[in-house]
Amino acid sequence: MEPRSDRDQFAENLRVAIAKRGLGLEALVDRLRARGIACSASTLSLWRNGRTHPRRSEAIRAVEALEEILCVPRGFLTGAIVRRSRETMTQLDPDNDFGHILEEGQRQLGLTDCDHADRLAMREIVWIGPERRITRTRVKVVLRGTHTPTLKLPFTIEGFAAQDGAWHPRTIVPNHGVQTGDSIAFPDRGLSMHELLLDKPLGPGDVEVIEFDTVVSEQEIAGTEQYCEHFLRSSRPVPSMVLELRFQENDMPARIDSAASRTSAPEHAEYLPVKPYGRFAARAHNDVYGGGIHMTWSWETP
Amino acid sequence: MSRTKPERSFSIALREAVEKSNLTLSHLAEISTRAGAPVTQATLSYWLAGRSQPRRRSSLEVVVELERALNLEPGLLVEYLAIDRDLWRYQGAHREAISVISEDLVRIRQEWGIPPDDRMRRDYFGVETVMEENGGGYFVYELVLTLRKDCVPRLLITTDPAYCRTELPTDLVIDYGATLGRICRLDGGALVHELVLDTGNGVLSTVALRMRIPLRQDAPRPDHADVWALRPFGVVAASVSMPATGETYHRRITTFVSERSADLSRHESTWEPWRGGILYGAVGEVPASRVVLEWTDLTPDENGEIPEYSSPAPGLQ
Repeated sequence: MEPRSDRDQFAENLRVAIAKRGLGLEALVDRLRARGIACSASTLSLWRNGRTHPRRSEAIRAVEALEEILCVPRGFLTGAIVRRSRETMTQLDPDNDFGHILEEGQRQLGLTDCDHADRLAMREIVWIGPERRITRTRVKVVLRGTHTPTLKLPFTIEGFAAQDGAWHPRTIVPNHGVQTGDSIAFPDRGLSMHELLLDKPLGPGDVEVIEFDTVVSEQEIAGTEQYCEHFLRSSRPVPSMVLELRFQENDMPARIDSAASRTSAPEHAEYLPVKPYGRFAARAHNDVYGGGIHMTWSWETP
Repeated sequence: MSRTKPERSFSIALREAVEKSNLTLSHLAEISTRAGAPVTQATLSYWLAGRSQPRRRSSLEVVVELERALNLEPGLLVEYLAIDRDLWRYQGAHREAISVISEDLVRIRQEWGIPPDDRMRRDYFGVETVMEENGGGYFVYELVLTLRKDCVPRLLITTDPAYCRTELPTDLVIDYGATLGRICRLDGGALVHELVLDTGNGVLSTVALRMRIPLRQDAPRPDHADVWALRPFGVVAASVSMPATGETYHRRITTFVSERSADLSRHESTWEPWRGGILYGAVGEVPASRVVLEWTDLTPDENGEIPEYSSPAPGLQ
């Protein structure tokens, strides 16, 4: 059980929507079942009372169906879940205020909290170059459409700070399934949010993989600080998440650590040593929603 | 995926299995409770009589334990349930999909001590065909698995020697996540590899694994990828990455998915133009599946067909 949040907008919205529609919980269960979704009355009751919240992707699908059954606007319930996840991010990491940055970026790019695409899996590969700097990362996301065709998604990435203090955003290079649209930079936070335009609309039930690289130019890398850490996180539910590091042959760090968390900032979780294999090191986690994976490395002998 | 069989079917399936087993309800309740899924004899009696059926999330664990105690194929009872949890993970592969497993493979599993229910959650399975400019290339296998209590952290991967170069033990390279165990050749030439997962210090419950197998130099250049997953997986993906030649390719994706209590259903895409050097086909959250990804540099006619193209993947005609 989770403590009830003072700002539990999801529970409040669900309560209002059910009351307006005038349907009992058992009737909702039957209508969900008719759509091929199994969700018990006790679960709905717990959500409505703010005692638990939908987290797994199956539960999110039930909430999306509830929006239709209860005749409320798209995002009325699902948007509240995403906003709650961002608020949790901010509460746990007030200095970073990551959640509000996501909200502001989405607003400026005209994107909504409710993009009708489940994230089934997420993987990021990080290449560390001869100068021991991150030269490139490759992001792969497996998406499945929910009920209305999805055309674009937001993605936020960290940039690099040069030694003179100037900030360099990364460039996104699409590999499969997407092209880049508008972007917005938050230089004081070292972040940029990008609009990813899908090559073809992701219809209900469609499964598609998108893949893109994030890069900085060699000239820019030369002047950047050496970052010996990387985050992979998501404000939306991700059943499977992997962060993989690829170092240079014969230049492995003395120590690699990782922390992973499902619902809170990973840097607040326990750090565990990661066993390297050759030039590889990886950490995986499951059922992430608002959390993620953080990996750090160092060439200094402990 | 969520069509539900009539409620009485669960009770009938359970009753038949209990009668065959000669176990009493009292004994079954004790076994399940001892395994961490508490249930009373009275509840089992209600289920058996069809007066109620498992509906709570916690009941799912009980049904999974009953399957184990009654020595049933994983998923045989679970597939009758409607419980609001990721039910597809607990369903067994459909019999039609299971039928592709040779008796040899079943025997190997028995001899190597890998039970049908290894108690691992399979999150991701991807096979990438990497084709290099010099004509060489390799297959990359990527897996993500979640280890449950009492799991058997070993996997069997079957490779096709018509395409994979596996003459030497060093041909198969595990980048991370496991060590190579035993190898066995089946009738027909396919190789079965045992992968022993790295369970780390026991705290890391989710394991990522990556391995590579080189393409045979003397084999025709692959023009399709055919990935089978006979267990429930969160994602099953086939992909190919090509050298940047500037040629235009088209892709076609055919998936065979085992849906709940239904036959394997086939979904076939049209030929689609492919931009970029990498191409994917994937399915998500299914008890068993096959993903066939085909690619060609031929151009479809006005009907979207490629007249000169004959499907290279078996069973697609």
